[in-house]
Amino acid sequence: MRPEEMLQVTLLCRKQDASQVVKILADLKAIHITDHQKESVGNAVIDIGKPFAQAEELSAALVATRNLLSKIPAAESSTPSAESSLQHRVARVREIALRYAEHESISSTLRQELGQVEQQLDLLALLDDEHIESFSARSVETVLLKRNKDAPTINAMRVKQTSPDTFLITVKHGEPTEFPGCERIDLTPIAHLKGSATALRKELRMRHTVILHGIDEQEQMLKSFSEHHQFLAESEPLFTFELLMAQAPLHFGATERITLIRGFIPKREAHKVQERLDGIMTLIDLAEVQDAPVALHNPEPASGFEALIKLYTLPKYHELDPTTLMAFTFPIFFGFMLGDIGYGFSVLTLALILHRYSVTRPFGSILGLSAVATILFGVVYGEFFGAEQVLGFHLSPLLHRVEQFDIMFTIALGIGLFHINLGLILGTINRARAGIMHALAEKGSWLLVELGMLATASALGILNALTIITYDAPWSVAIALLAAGAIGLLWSEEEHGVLKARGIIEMPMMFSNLMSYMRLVAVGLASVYLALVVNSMASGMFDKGGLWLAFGIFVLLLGHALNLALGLLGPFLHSLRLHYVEFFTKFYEGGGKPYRPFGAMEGT
Amino acid sequence: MVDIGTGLVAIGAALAVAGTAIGAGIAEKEIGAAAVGAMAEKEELFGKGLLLTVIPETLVIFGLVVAIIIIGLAE
Repeated sequence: MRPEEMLQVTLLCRKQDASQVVKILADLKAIHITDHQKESVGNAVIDIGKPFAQAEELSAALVATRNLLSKIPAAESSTPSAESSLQHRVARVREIALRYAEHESISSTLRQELGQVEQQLDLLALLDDEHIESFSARSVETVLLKRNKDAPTINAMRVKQTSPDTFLITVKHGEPTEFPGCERIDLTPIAHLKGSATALRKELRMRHTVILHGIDEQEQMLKSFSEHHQFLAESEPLFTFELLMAQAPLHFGATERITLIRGFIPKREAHKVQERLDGIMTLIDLAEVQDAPVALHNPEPASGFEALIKLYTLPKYHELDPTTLMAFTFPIFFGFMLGDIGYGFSVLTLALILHRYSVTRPFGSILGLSAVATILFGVVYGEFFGAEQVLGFHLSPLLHRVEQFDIMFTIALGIGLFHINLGLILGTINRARAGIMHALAEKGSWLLVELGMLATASALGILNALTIITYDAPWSVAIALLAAGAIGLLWSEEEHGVLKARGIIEMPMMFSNLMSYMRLVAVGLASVYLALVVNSMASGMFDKGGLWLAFGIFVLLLGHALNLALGLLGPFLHSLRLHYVEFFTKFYEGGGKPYRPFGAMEGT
Repeated sequence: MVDIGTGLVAIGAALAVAGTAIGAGIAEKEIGAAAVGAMAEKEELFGKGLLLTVIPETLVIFGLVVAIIIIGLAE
């Protein structure tokens, strides 16, 4: 019910032993290192440590590795690369990166040239058999024009048609080169060429082929790098980890001779840590703490619910960890809503699949427990995929939730009262540290408000109409309870003689919180009705026989698959919501810092 | 045939559910859009986004409770 107990540690070692210590700490995966702040003790200054020498080289290698991995495709078949030392790996990555960059650069130069040649070929195609060098004669200017279809005839010194819609115009220097309906084509890319267009075209086409071949060759070379993909993919996490080690001193305190490490370790592991560090490191301080990073510690399968707590926010170090409680209430809520033997077994199958993979394991545990509850409630409701008859066998419901929904509402309200009051009790425990009287007064007042709200609902006739409780409480009782609650809230929130009204403003919340538990019935009813609709549609088709039989089976499968998907999402989210919104707001603060032991990394 | 009074009660109950459902829909539209926007920035927010999106569904629950009360009062 509490987060893992932590001890604060301060460790001291000689500077030359620091790298060895880092290795041991990473291996222990137990210490959560806190960043050192520059401080002075007497006249000595304890500064922030400097990374180990290999950090720079490693970070360059890591950047190169990631860069290459983003460019090189994975090989189709890959064998794990042989074990090699870190230095060896760094050197190999550097060599691969260098070669890759070389081929990349040649390839890009060739591509640039290819672009030029293609442009020149395009222009030459428009020039029939003209001699290019004649364009740059001194006294005249030669211009290539593209003429639109309906443009007027061009008047110039010399006009020659070189292709269906281009004309080569020669004008004297200084004369206008603009003609109506014509567009001037820039000849700069070929201005430096010499010879006839025909000869040049032939020459450039050959060059074009050669370049294409060259590019192809380079591409092949670059592709062949995929044989290194496996090696790079293996090196990446290794480099990441080693870089983390090499940069670890950035979190430490350091003087010229010593290294100082501060952090937190779980109390359970303190002995192990002490043993491993004996002789090389001095443990100068081990203290109980008020505030520490939070690690949740719950037995299987409840530990799966830690994922849901983390999704909300981690508890503070001194707070109660509601994971285990949630492992009881969550499946009950889920089962209460879905409550069907058939759906229960379907969910159980899904849960078992999810439980196989480490990523989805928490959800496997959550759904597994929920599925068991669903099956149990399914027996109570006597439902199998919405039907009460399975192969002629009649499931006699202990509680028929469609017909006896008034009883269902009463139970839901009871669950709500229980859940909210459980929250209030937990809140009292959490608050007791600050003063037991105030904590009791505050949560006790909420209890009065709760009763007042119930009495109000009863006085209004709501409970009677819902046929939950057929007793209409007198208004005087309701008002008295609410007033007592309000006064209690005012008193418990009083600070230094100043009254605060936050509690009073939030009083109506208690009513909506209680009503919110009605969803336990509502979501379930929606699911039952959908299942009933699917069943009656299908049975209508079965009665017709023949080809309708196939349609019926199709409707049955599709309908129940859809309802199951909704039945997973709805009860899951609503159950979660009842915990987060209605339950947690009564006691839970959250905002704890997660415990991140040094050396524990994903994938290593 | 049901008499007109029962019909009106049924319409009243339907309005209670329909109104709250539309209200919840509008609220969820806004939250959903914002949640997807937040997820585009930070994918880990999926869980919180999904959860925030179903918060207004309480409205429909209230609608349902009111509908049942209306039907209950009519009997």
